[in-house]
Amino acid sequence: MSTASRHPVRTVRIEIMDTLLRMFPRRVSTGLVAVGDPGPDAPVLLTCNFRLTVQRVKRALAGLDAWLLVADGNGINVWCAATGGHLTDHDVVRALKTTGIAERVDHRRVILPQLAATGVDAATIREKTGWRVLWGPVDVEDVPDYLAAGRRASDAMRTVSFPWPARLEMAVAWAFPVSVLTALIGLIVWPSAWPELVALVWGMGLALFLAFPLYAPLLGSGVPAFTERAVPLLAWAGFMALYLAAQVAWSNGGGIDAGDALRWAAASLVVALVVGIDLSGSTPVLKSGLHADRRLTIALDADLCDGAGLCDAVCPVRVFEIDHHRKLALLPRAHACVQCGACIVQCPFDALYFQTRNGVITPETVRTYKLNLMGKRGA
Amino acid sequence: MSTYVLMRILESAPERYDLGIRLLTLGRVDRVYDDLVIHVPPTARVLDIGCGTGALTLRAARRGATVKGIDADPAMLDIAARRVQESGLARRIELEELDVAELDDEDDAAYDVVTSGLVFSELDDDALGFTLRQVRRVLRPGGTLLVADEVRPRRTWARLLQRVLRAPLVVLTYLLTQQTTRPVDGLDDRIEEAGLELEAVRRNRLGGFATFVARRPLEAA
Repeated sequence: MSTASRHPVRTVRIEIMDTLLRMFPRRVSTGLVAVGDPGPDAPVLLTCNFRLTVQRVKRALAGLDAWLLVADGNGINVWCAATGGHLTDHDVVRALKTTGIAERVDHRRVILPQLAATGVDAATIREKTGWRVLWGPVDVEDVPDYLAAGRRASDAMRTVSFPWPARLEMAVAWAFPVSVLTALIGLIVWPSAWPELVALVWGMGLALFLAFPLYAPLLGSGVPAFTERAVPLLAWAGFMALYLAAQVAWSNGGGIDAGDALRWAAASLVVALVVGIDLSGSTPVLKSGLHADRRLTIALDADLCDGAGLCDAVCPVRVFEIDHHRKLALLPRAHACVQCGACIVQCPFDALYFQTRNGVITPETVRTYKLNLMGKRGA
Repeated sequence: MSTYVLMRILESAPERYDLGIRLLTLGRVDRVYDDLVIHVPPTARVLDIGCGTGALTLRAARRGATVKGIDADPAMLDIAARRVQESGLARRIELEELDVAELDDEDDAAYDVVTSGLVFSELDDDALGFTLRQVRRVLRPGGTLLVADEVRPRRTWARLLQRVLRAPLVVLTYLLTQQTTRPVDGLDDRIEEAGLELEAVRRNRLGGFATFVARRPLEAA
C-alpha cells in the first residue's frame, strides 16, 4: 500500500507532459493507495493506472479520507481502457482480491467511474468477489459532491460533456504528436517553412476543436456521413482564405507567389485531414463516424426488459427513460447513442443489443470482446 | 469514442503477440519453453497460468499431460483454441477465461504441475504474491512449478546493460503488440516465501531471463 502525497512541481510537470502525450498510454504502478487517513468505513474507489488519471483522482480526493484502488488498465484512460478491453472484470477482481482491501474495510462497496461500465460487469464482480459495484460520476471532480450526497449521482454527473477545457486538451493531444511528425517531415521536404508548418498544425488543431460547438450540428448520426468529411475541408478553405487575404494585404500589389500558394494549399489540406480524421470520435459526445459499417444502433428487446434501469444508470448521453408502471426501458434519445455498449454490458436480462447493417451484435459478444473486435463483428 | 488509428492497432494486437514476444526475447522463448516442459511427466495434470496463445499448454499436452490453460484475455484464448483444434489434442486440453486472481476457484492439490511463461512479469507485487500462494495450494504435495520469465539481473552492471539492451526491443514490441513486461525482481525469494522449494534456477548469460523449477514440499504444512 502507498499513500497519496502531492508535490506541486511534479504535478504540473505530469499535467503538461501527459496532456501533450495523451494519445499514448502511460502506466503507473497498480495497487492500493490510502488518501488522507481512511478507516474501516471509508469509501473505496477504483480507477485505472493511466498516470494523468491517477494524479487527477488523487487531487480531486484531496481532503477526503478514502481508499483508492489503482487497477491495471494498461496505462490507458478509464473510458478507452474499459471500452477497448483493457480494464476488464478480471482487472477489477484482481484489485479487490489481491490488494488486501477486504481486510481494511468492513463494508463491500466499491465505487467505479461510470465510464468503466463499458468494460466491467457489475453482476460478475459481485458474483466473483461479493463486492457491490456503485457507479460513481463521469467526472472525478464530482466525486466529493457524489459522496456528500450519500453516493448519489445527479443527471449532470452522469452525463458526458465537451466543454472548452476538454476541447483544448484534445486539441493539444492531437496537435503535439502531429506537429512533431510534421516538423520531421517538414525538415526534409520543405526545410524553409517547417516552423510555419508546425504553427499550422497547432492553429488547425486548436481551431477545429475549440470551434466544435459551431459545427457540431454537421456531425452525429442524424446527418449523412459525408457532412463529417466536410468539416476538415471547411477548416482548410478557411485557412486558405486567410492565407490568400494575408498575401494580398502584404504583397504591396506585387501579386501572389503561385508556387508557394499551391504548396501551402497542399500542406494545409493534409494537416486538416489528419487532425480532423475522426472529429466525432475525438469527442465524448458523438460516436466515431469513420466507417459506415461501424455505425451501430442500440436496440431493445421489449419482451426481455423488466425495467431495472441499470441501462439508464450507466448511459453517458442519457438515451434512456424508465417507465416504472410498464416496467420497461424507453429510448427517447437513441439518436444520441455513442455506441459505448455500457447499457448492453450491464443489462441483467440481455435485453439490449447492437443492430448493425447486416445483423445484430449480441450482449455476450459485447461483454467478451468489448468494442475491440468491432471490425470482425461488423462484418 | 476512441479514435480510428488507435482502434485498428489495438484490434489486431493479439494476432501479433507471439511475434512480439519472440522479438522481446530475441527468439529464445521457443527453446526455453521446450527445455522447461521436459519436467512435465506424461500423465501429469497441468495448470498453465496465463496460457496466452497456448505455447506452454500445447507443449505440455504433446508430452501426454492433461492441461488446463487459463488466461484473462479472450482474444488470446481464441487463438489458443484454434491451435488446440489444429493440434488434435483437444481431448486433453481445457481452456478457460480466468485471471490469476480467480485461481482460488481451483481445488486444493488438484495439479501435479503448474506452468507459467512470461506472466509473472505482467503482475504487480500484490498479484504475484497472491498467485504464488494459490499455486502452492493447487499443487499436490511434491508437485512442480515451472516458470520462464524475465527477471532483473542481480549484479548492478548487468541491470544497467539489460536496460540499455531492452529499451529498443521494448519499444518495438510495444508498437507491435501494445504489451510489455517488467522484469521481476527477486523471483527466487518470492517463490520460496510462498512456501515452495526451489530445485533449479537457470539464467541466461546476462541474468535477465530465467527458468525456475520449484516443488511444493511433501509434508503437509
